[in-house]
Amino acid sequence: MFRRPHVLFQPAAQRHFLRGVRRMANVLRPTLGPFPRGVLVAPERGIGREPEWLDSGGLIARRMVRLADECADPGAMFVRHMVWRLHEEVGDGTATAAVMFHELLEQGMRSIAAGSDPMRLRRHLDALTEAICTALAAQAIPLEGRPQITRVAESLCVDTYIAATLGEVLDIMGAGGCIEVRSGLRPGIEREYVEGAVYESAILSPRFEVESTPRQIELEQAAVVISDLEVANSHDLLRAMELALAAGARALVLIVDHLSDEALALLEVNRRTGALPSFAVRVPGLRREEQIAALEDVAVLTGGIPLRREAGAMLSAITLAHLGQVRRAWANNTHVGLARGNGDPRTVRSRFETLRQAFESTDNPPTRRDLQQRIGRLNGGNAVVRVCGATAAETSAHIALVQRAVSVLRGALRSGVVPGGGAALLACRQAVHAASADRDGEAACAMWRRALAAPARVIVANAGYDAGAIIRMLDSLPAGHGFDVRSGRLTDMRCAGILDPVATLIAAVRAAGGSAALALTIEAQVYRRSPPASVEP
Amino acid sequence: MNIASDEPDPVYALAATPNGTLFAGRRSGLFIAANGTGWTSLPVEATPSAASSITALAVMPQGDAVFVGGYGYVARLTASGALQRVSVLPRPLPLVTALVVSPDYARDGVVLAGTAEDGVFRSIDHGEHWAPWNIGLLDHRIIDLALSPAFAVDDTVFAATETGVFSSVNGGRSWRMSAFPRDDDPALCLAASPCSAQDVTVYAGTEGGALLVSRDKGRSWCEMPGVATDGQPINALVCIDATTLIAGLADRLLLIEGILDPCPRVVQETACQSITALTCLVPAPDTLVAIVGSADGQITRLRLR
Repeated sequence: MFRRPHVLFQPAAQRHFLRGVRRMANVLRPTLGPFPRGVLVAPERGIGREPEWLDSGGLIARRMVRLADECADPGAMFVRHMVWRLHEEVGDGTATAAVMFHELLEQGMRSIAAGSDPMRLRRHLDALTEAICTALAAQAIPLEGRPQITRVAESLCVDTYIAATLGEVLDIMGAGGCIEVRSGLRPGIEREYVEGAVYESAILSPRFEVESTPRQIELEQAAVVISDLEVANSHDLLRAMELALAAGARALVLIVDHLSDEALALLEVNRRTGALPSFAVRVPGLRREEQIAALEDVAVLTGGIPLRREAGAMLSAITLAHLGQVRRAWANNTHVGLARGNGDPRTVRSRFETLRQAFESTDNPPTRRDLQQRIGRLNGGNAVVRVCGATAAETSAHIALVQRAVSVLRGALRSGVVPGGGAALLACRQAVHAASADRDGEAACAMWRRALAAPARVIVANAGYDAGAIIRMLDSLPAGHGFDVRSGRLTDMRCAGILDPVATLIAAVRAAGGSAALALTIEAQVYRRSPPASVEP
Repeated sequence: MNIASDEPDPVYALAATPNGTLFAGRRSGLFIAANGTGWTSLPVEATPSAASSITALAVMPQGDAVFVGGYGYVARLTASGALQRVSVLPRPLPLVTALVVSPDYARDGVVLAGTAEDGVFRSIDHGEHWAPWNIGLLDHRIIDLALSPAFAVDDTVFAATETGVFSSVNGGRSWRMSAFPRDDDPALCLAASPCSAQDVTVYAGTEGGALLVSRDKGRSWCEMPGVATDGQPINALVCIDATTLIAGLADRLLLIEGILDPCPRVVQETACQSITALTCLVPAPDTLVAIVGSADGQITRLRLR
């Protein structure tokens, strides 16, 4: 620990920064390619906890919150945050980005030492980054069908059984489907498809819990009260029940914020006598905006109108128009499902399209996640993938792996794939041309050309081949060809089914290019007396 | 050919086996006409509801059995009409509106049922057990179903709904919307060209009288030129071969030829009242007979060529 804030200027600042970057890149480098090597992360504290075996660059970076070498720490944390952000946004491409960033920085610092101007270099790097992204997008082909999805999944998770399951799930659910990954009870991977819009929500009263197996209440031809009201008066509830019967419903689903004991008793009596089977669930969602969105979506799906307290709605004023209808509804202690609602299909389609456009137009990961879930629910189905390993550590590693693979496969279904990630980046070298023929432009081109070859070099080396010789052979191959490290042969990557999501590669190129362009302009580093551990980017 | 009845007994579905046996699904039940002569009622017993209506029919590829659908069930009968099995669909009981059987039924055992309110049900064990598969199907009101001629390979199936056509490329397990040019015009019937295994050409008739064609597995649709329907709903379509299509309108039957050409032509137009179901027989290579069912209960044989 420095005794007082400490400032370092060039060239020492760059030297230390590069050391940290190199350290972090070297930790992530083994995880790149279809033959990744693991990184064992010791538990931070606590005796007896198992060390983690990780092969995800994003997770490894998250575990590294500080380096012992204080001078190198800022460089390492710079990479950590770049990688973490990338992991949050696309779920993969972290090692690729780290390797390219490291190469760009090494070459850039040499270039600056030889007299290049950092700011001019930055401008050229930014322009070239966009040109490379365009070249990658031009190579993309759509990802379609279960066999192709399975092949991409194989490149992400190595395990052929997991890949086959994910191939089926993603083929059925598509890019926008709801896919939940949970821990299972039996070793291996299982999947289940649940019909309808499924929300996390608790049954409001223990009286509604069922003793049957599975512990689930099922209703048919049910009317749905869609509200966020507190129901205190049983007379108001009685009106809703009468309306449900008048509408021809055989059951009632209540979505409310709270039910009084009196109201619960009324529902329970009618449930027991069979006059009107029912269940009541709390409004889905924790945040207010989540709850409002859920109520609106349920209204669209079931053809009802939500009764919202902000609008001054009261249950006593409920009419037939407020009641939604579903052919089938179910609830257990944690979830509620509404299937085959009576909503106008045109309105459902229009809402689906609106949400899809909102999803496309935002880059904010939490917003995208929320919209993704809403789109999935409107889509009418939910896939539950259950993963279980021999130990708790293996289970959590498998869950993380499957979640990451699902996220990447969604991106691949949306944006397409390129034949071989390393080969596609190598092919982009042809798009690297300086806008002006000045010295800095040439230097930026040379930097990017080397950086684009770096991932292929690492993939080949990780698989145990001579990287230099293979890269030289690849230079003479036509577009779309590459080196298949599994078979050890030069091949047409598309025919061999070696496909990588283009969205991941573009995100990795943007992250590496943007971060390198910024890092090259660092003139000084300030070290704090007691630097905080790096937590979130 | 008419079945005498005091009350209107609309014909909901017609099907023909390769050897010429005809089946008719009507409000009053199932009827069979062996060799096209004399209609006989066939009882379908042990059904989950009292309603006797038969609303959907599908003949197995080899023609040795037929599936019939009604309120809450799908039943399988032999080609001679003997009841083999009744399978009850999952509750709440749906009304079956369309049935299709995989061309590779013997191997994959796939049968799909479209329903009036509950989307599509799928069986992979020769029609014994059924499960709803509606992922991506935003409209659950299925009016008709059609399989790609290469279903055994491409798993492609189409569903006509009130808001257009949905397609599935995984055997009906998930669906995607197509760019249907007429959002407010329900698709009433579908027919896949039997000779388009590569591109999958499929035709759709709408309530507004539009005859639409898609040549890219249902992704995009365009109106077929040269077929005047005067806005009459197209209730039934049968694709005979790569070049010939029969369309059953509310008031007439059209024989359309040259459907692959830029401008197909209607070569024969026969007046018929309220066509609701249509099937065809090809007793000889140069002979084509249409069997037409109508809302008023008439079943008519029309020799088209």
